[in-house]
Amino acid sequence: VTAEPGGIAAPPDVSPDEIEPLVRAMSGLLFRIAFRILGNGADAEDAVQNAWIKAMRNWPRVSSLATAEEQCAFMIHIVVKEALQLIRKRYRRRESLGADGKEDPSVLEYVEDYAQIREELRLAWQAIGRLPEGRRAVVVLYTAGYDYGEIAEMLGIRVSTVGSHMYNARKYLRRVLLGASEGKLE
Amino acid sequence: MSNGKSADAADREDILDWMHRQGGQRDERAPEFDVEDTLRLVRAVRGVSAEDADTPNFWNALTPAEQGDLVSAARRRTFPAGAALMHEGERADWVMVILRGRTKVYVEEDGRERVVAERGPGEVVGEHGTPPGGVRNATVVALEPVLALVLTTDDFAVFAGEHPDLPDIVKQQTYDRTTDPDP
Repeated sequence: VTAEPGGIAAPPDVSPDEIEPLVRAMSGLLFRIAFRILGNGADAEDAVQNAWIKAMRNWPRVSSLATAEEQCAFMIHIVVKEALQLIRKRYRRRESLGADGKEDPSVLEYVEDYAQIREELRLAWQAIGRLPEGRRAVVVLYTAGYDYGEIAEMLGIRVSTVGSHMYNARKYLRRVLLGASEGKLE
Repeated sequence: MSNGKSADAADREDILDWMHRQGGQRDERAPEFDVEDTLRLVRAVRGVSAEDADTPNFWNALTPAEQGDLVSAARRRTFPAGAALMHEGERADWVMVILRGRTKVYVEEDGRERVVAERGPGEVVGEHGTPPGGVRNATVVALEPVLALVLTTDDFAVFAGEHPDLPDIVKQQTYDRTTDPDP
């Protein structure tokens, strides 16, 4: 079911029998992942809900996946994307509050004490957001505290693939962060 | 968790490894997840999408992809029957898209309610004649339990910016806020 470009959207035909068992079975895991990325229950719940709505809007793709594992990996990719978008939104809100504005308490509150690492974190999230999708999901799951084996299992890929994504991502991030700190010295 | 050592260590340590440790620590703090609200949202989105497509409203003027992005840009709020979604005279810096439940829109005249509209699933409330920073010119009350998407004007501007091809009905209803709704 697709929409005509610029026309009225056709309602996608997702039956409750199809989607609700998946929502029940997978949401706990998706929430835990989102919480470990975002550190905040309300935001993590938003990420999970957004992910299901996105899945509904893309249902032919979800239902074409053959196994529960593949569907779960697909949903993990979506929830990671939604979590990243929420992080972007936090930073945007923080910017719009300005230097002397009251800071949004949901912005990465657990690094309150680390003024120095804050800028580095901001740059890191920015750089992670620019990674190609497959690599990005691996890196975000790593930052959520999962190890290579767990990530491989969650995404249905080899541990060695996780390793090579991480190797390349580290190289890329080092370059970005180094570039930023050298830029500051000039 | 907070001592000077971690910050120093982070200087030398790979930033990804630092984030990895922080993420792992968060696992113990993860609360139990109640799936019911998520199911309610999924059902509401299904319901509003199944509304009669012949009556054009904000929601069904969007493509499925745009609907998904709108949900991502918004937060969810629920209101019991009888609760006010917004009050006449208060600051108007956000709009709502109703997913489930009917509402009435009224203004007060000489201490009496005058109902000016009813709004239901798929429709927007809080948008007419309110330039950013302006005040509400009507009160909106839930006639039955309401589930709505809430967008600040900033979030809506970002959403609109990322979707330059939004249909006119959407732009008219929420973006073109300084023009007279009844020319």
